[in-house]
Amino acid sequence: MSATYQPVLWNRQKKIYDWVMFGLIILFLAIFIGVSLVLFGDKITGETLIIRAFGSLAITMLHIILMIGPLARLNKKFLPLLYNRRHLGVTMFFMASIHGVFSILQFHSMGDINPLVSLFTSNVNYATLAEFPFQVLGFFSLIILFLMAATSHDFWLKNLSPKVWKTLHLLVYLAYAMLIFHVMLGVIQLEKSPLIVILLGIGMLTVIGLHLAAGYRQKQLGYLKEQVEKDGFVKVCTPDDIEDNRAKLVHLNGESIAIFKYENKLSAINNFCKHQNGSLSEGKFVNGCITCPWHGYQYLAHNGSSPPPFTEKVATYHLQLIDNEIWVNPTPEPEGTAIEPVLL
Amino acid sequence: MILSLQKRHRLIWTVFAIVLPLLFVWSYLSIPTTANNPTIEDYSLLPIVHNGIENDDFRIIERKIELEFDINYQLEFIVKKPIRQAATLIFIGENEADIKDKAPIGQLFSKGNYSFPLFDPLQKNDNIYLYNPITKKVFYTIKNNSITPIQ
Repeated sequence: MSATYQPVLWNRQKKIYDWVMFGLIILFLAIFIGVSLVLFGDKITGETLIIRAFGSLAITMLHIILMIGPLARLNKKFLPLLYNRRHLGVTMFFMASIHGVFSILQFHSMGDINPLVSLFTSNVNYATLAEFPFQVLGFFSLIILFLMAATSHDFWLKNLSPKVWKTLHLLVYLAYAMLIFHVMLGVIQLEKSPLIVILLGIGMLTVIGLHLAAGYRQKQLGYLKEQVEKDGFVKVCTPDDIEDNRAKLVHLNGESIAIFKYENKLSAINNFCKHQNGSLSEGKFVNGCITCPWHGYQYLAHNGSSPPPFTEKVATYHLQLIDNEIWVNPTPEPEGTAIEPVLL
Repeated sequence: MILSLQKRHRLIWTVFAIVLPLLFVWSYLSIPTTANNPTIEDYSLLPIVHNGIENDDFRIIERKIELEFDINYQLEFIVKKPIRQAATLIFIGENEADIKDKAPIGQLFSKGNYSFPLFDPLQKNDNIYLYNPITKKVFYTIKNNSITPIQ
């Protein structure tokens, strides 16, 4: 979280995250190149090895990136992986770029036709899957990944607006679908072993399964079994149902409300972080602030405002404690409105 | 994630859960079990002049056209398995050194049927060399003595 734009917002956690990521990338490349040299040492060129190693690395990283989101929604233990996913995504784009550039150099730059023209004209068998020009799918995916990497910064989030930015970044799913078939159709045309097809199938089913499981679990969260209403307030739960420094999520009248229990007090704010719509109810009360689990944006519990110099604000809601039951008024107060916390 | 975005995610992944596995299986099933290339000539018109050679990787047949054309012979190449090379040129010659001065008779890509015109029939001492122009190496040699003439 920062009041000004910086190229990269480093902190200790992000540095650890990045060092682990780079270590694993080096390990992956070393193992891949080592095994390839042992198996095909006399048949494989340096360029082919680079194309295969970085292509395999990029598709593996994309699978991991796409698994982090649903895993974090299914189990809070995975939230630290979400914290710096942005760096993982940008790094994945660079790995995919190396694969793409070397592929174009090796397969399309040795003739007298412009390599990009050659990419689109050397194979036009679009009507058949067995001979489909799979490289074109990879090219368009790389364009999407470039747009995502280039705008993967809070400057663009702020200036494009969260809605446009989020829509742009949802294109990663289109890129993923195209990359699955970029690999699949390439493999069936060029590879003898079914191993890659099997691994790709397992990866694809795991990603789909996790997203469906997380999506349908999230759909059930925060809805009350029965809605008891009195004077505009709705009964939610007892204070014991909420862990200390954590929240209870409740959806009422189209509002998503996070009721936090902290320092023997209760406060309710809108559930969605102003940064990227992260779920604040999955966050914690840390150092006197409600902290978004996605990227660490913070809000004061009693007024839903980020502490100065930050300017983000979310709506607040009135609470009552009657006979040890928490009641909430789902009508939001304007963003940043201070409401006296309920004392326990 | 706001509720509308959650809904959009569920919709996208529900569609993916149906479409991607179907396309995946369809792609796998589309791997041709028999080689097919619609551009090749009608082989039924061409008598076989050699039995050819067949192994796990290739089937090679030399044919002769009985009508009088400039080009009377054709080398038919059926690639059964993907060739693990970035580029493949076909040369005919008596030995590897011999092919340096010759033009390739054609190029192989992925699996499929290929046919190449031959001005002269394969000679007794001719071998077929598959050459990678990037690595500048012959990676596959087919000895002519393994091609058996028919009676």
